[in-house]
Amino acid sequence: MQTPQHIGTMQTLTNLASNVRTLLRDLYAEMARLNRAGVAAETLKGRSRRERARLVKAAVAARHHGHSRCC
Amino acid sequence: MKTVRLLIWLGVAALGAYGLALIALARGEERPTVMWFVIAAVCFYAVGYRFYSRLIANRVLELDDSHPTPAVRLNNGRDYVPTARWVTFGHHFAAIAGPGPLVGPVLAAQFGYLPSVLWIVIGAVLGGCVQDFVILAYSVKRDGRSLGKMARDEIGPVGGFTALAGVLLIMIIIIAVLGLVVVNAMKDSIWATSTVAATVPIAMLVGIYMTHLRPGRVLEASIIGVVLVMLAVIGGRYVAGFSFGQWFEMDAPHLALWIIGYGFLASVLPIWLLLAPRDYLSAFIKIGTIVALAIGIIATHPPTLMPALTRFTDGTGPIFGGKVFPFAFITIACGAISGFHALISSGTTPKMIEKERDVRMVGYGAMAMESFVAIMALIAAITLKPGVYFAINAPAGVVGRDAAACAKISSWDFPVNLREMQTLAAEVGEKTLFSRTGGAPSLAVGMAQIFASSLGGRAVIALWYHFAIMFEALFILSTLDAGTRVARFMLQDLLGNLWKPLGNSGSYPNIVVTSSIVVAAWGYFLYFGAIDPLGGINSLWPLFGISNQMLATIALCVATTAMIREGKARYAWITLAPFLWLVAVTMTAGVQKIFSTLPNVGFLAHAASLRAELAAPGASAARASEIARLIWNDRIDAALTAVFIAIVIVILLDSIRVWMRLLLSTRPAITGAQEAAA
Repeated sequence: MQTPQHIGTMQTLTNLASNVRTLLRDLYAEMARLNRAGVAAETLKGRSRRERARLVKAAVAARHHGHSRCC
Repeated sequence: MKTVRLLIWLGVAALGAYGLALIALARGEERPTVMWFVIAAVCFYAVGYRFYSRLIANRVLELDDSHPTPAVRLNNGRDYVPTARWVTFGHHFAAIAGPGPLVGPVLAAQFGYLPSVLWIVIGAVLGGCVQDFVILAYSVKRDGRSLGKMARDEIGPVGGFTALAGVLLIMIIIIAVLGLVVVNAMKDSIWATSTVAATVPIAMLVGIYMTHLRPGRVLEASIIGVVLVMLAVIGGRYVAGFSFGQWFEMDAPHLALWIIGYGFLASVLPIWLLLAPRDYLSAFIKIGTIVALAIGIIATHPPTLMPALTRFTDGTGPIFGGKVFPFAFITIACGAISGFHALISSGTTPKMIEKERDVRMVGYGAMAMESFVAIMALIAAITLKPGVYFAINAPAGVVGRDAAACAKISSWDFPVNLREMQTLAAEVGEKTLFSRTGGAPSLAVGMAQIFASSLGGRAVIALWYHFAIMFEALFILSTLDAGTRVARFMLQDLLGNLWKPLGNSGSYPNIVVTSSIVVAAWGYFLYFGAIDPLGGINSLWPLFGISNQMLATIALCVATTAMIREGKARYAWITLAPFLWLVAVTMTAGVQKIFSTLPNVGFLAHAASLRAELAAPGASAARASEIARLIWNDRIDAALTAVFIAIVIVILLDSIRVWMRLLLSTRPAITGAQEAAA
């Protein structure tokens, strides 16, 4: 029989697993976004290499404009 | 459950207090293990985050997830993008964690570990984290406005203009000082110089890969770049064996000229070719190395060798002159409080915040993490034998060279001998480690010892040393790239007010001219730092600290004004306390740097001592010309410090005027947040 203490521990572990899953999902999504230079997948899809290069350059320049790095 | 939580937090607080007491009260040969530094710091950050930041979030800022953030309201898929809080935390941490928190604590270790550890932990919890947090929150409540814009809105046009001028000046000083750190780390070292030089074509290759070969594949390109950089570190060892290896053997002035040339190129080349790829490379290597250093410290927990306090608290330190107050608090800027962070907290980060309450974790939490990085850098320095630490960091102009340096340093009760230094230099693959000023080489030795103890042993210490040098240089060069470019944009904006075509940031001749002006400005300080027999860092690093803390006073002023405007005057002490401390520190340091009669502290006293040397018979013509240039440089440094003091006074008086008006007024004030909402 499960005691309230067991149930509490299980609940904590479930919450922890859920948080880790969310964290990993967010990280994966961010890495995928980074691997498109922050440009939406549909925007890059089906375009010529020259056009994609232009879009990526613009996105990278926008990301690194201004105070992007501290001392 | 509530009681258990309360007991846990009481335990954390008690453990932190016990750890800090142990660190503070230890004297003589009985020194606490470095694990107590880690435990005390983590407990303090945890308590500060859990209780102090919560008080600020709930009572002062009234953060509420039901308020839509600018990232949600103004989402344009480019700069305004709602982002998951852990990802925003990572972005913000990667942007604020520069080389400052690594180098500052290493230099300040000349006073012993105690002043540094107290200032890093307490300064961060009550000052740095608070500044980053409130500025980020106020920027989020004002559509992601910049610090300059908020200063104009909250304090007025004088405050706004002063903030802008301050930012431009701080850029110039920061770039020069950090450039000097790289120069001192790489001078006369073929391995270090060739490895760092290789990162330039590698970054360009990454840039071409992610834009032309496989457009958009930033992650792929960065991974390839990281692997190539590692190969460059390993291959650097063999460069000296080739005839072209001699190209990379350069003294400090020549290296300074190369870095000035590099800075110019980085500013005029397209952003995707050099700056952006270097930024990606640097971010990945930085996070990896910091995690590895933390694991290394916990795994090896080396003994503390530096005493709690050294004799140099009296101001006679060989690394930089000046007493522990105010100079320990000036030298360690970024690890405790850094005004520059306010630019990031009011730059890209507020445009990524998805929910208002995420501001607490991102703003307060990331700064606590950065402060922990500073603690790790301090640990790397204080686990070095003190004699070795001073032999690496003291300029030859103060302690002499080789055997003379050993004799002088040993006479301070920090024994070191020539053989020991030669063995260490041979182990790390350098010709000499004497007078490698700037903090980076001693940090690299400390890091290499920690890494080698946990992985590979003494046989691979040279590899770890050069990895650490490459890591620091990559960090610094990415700050130098970005800083030069931002300073160029600011100059173009400024000149555009005088004559419109000069403000056109797309015109190539304009880019070349404004880049030249910016590079010449920081290049001047860098070159004179490189030829200064006192190592340059001696006088320039305090200038860096003063300028950075000055920016923090502006940020805290803006935050206090915003608080008073929003009817939270009873909580104004939260930002006023660190503000008043920083005013005391910057003003005292500034006045001492100009007027102190000690040549190792005051710029004018140093110029006077050089004049006396010039007047004495026997000086060669070359030395006479060098002295004349150094005197001129001292005067420029003194004038710049006076400008910094004037900026702090103007901001202080202007803010007091606004605060008095707000507090005495019977009409409700219009806040920047209300204006933004309107």
